[in-house]
Amino acid sequence: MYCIKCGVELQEGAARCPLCGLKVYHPEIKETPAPGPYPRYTEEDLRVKRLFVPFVLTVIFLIPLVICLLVDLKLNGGIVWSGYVAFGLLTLWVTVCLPLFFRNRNPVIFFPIQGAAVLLLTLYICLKTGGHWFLSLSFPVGGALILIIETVIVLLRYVIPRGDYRILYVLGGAVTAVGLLCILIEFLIHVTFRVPMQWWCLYPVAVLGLLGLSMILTAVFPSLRSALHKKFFI
Amino acid sequence: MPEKKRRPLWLRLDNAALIFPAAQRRHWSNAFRISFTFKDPVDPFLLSEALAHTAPRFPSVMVRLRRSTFWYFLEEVPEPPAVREDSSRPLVHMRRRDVRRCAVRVLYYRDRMAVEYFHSVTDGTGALIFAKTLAAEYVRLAYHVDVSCTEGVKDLSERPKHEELEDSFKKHAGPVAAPRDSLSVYRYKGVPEKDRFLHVTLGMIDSGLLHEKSRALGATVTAYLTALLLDALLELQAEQVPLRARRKNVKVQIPVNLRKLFGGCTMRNFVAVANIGADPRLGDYTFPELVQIVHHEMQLAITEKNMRAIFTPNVKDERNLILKAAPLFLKNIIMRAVFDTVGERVSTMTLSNLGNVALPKEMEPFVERVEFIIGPQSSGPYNMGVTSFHGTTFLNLVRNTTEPELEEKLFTRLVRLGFHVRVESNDRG
Repeated sequence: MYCIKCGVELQEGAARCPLCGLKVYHPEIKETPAPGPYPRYTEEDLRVKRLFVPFVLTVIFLIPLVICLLVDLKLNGGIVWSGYVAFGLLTLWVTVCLPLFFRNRNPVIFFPIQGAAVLLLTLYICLKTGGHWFLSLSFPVGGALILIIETVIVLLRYVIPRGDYRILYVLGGAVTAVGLLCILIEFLIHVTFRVPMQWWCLYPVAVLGLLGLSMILTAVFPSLRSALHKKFFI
Repeated sequence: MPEKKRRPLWLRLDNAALIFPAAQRRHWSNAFRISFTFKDPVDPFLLSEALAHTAPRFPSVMVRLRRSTFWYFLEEVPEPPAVREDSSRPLVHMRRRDVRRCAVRVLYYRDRMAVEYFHSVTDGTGALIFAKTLAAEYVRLAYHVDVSCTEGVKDLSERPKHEELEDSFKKHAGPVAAPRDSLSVYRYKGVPEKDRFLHVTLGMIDSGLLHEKSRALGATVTAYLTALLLDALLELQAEQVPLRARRKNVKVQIPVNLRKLFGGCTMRNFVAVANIGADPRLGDYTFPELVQIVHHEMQLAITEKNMRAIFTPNVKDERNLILKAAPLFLKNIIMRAVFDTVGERVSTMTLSNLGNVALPKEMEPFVERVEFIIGPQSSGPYNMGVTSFHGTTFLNLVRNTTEPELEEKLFTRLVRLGFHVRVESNDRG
């Protein structure tokens, strides 16, 4: 078979011309795939490259951690402030570095892990400062926020196809849910710290509620969607 | 009485080899490969056996790279490495730790046997002799044919001669050093492949017609192919840099086998390069014009005196007492800087022609192809290796960028010049 553009004879079973990329086609000759001059492409060499970066990053994370722990131990004879550094770095490592060790960085799995690392950091701060706010404030607020975001990630990844307008339902619902979460936050602050209710939560509720509602309405009415698209397409 | 175990041979790096370990990067090493395609599928067990028989004859080739305080050195490997199946890309990066184990790889895929060399070990000529001897031994084992030790095939019952292990640069260095080329030249820059995939596009043309056409223009095959490559590169630059005044010289680096000029039969590096090119700011060139320019430039450059003057400064640097006493890490920094400024920057790409490969007549019926592939430069995506065998010339163009721009220009030029071009590639589809 020849490439009709370049005029060169191609190897048996070639799907396209390696010079110009033109697809090989002849109406009367049926090309059957033949083994090429080299084995099929695999990603065998990428493993080394993939693990090198997170490994180096981990070492970079470990250097300040070890230095801080040693300095703290030397100056204070125990872990006083270096614990904050350690848990802070752990949170950052889980967020930045941990996904790099894996080829399939599925956010459905990694996001809750990252959320749990942040909650762990707040638990440490709470215990270290002798606070009583973790179970009554940090855990329910953090947990609810993780739940909302995880739901959005799952829906966008597995339920709604990319570019589908129904994404607006999900985002609208999520924004409204975050608005409602603000009421919970103010209430939990009131319960935990005995602060009187100021009802500041109504401001974010109003803004986020309207934003969420407008998204849902846009999803409901195709004419509105089309008008907005015409006005703002990029 | 048990036979006393021989100590492994160790060798200082030859003068050309010194630069390659220092220039090595995390994702790049200077390597090349010679492959033999047989009529039948390669039997890996027989190939291993052939390698085990061949390796002791070439103690300067089956080596690993090691470090001492002041220099790298090569040490004979106790046992040859296992033969491995080829990869989807040739010349998979030789990492430092690979080279520390063995600086040569023997690979097989279907009916092809390939040997890949880290350039510190040997040059194309030495590599071809080793590959021919290995292939000859394989033919002996696989087809039970008595292959004569002619056409570069070494006798495995002989011990290596002293001349095969010598550093010929030191032997032939003269008193006069030519100034190093420092001209800034056109460097093609494409979009790099994210996974550094190396594309190989092989073009096969008729050697007889190539000779005929070269002779008609009064040039050698290498000059003809270099002119063709220059023509394609000049067009590529014209497309990328429309303003003529901003265009740079296009230079093709041609390795020259110094054994032909100075004699000797070293199995180590003995090669120098001639940078041949054209200045696009002077105007457009016709193809016959380019052939004439390349032919005459090559005639001027490739002489005993000129080549001696080109490699003499490197030998002088190696003999410099201050440099000698510098620890290896410091030498590496200096040599890498030298490599970056005068090693690669002075040429657009390399065209290495091993010429017509002759084999002993007993093994010829079993061999279909002999190919030569050189790896890309560290900062330039293209290079080209050429061999001729059995009336076919094999042009292997490698590239580590996404677009096959030069390949298209080069091979369609050949088609327009009247060649029937057969193209193969390791395209991922």
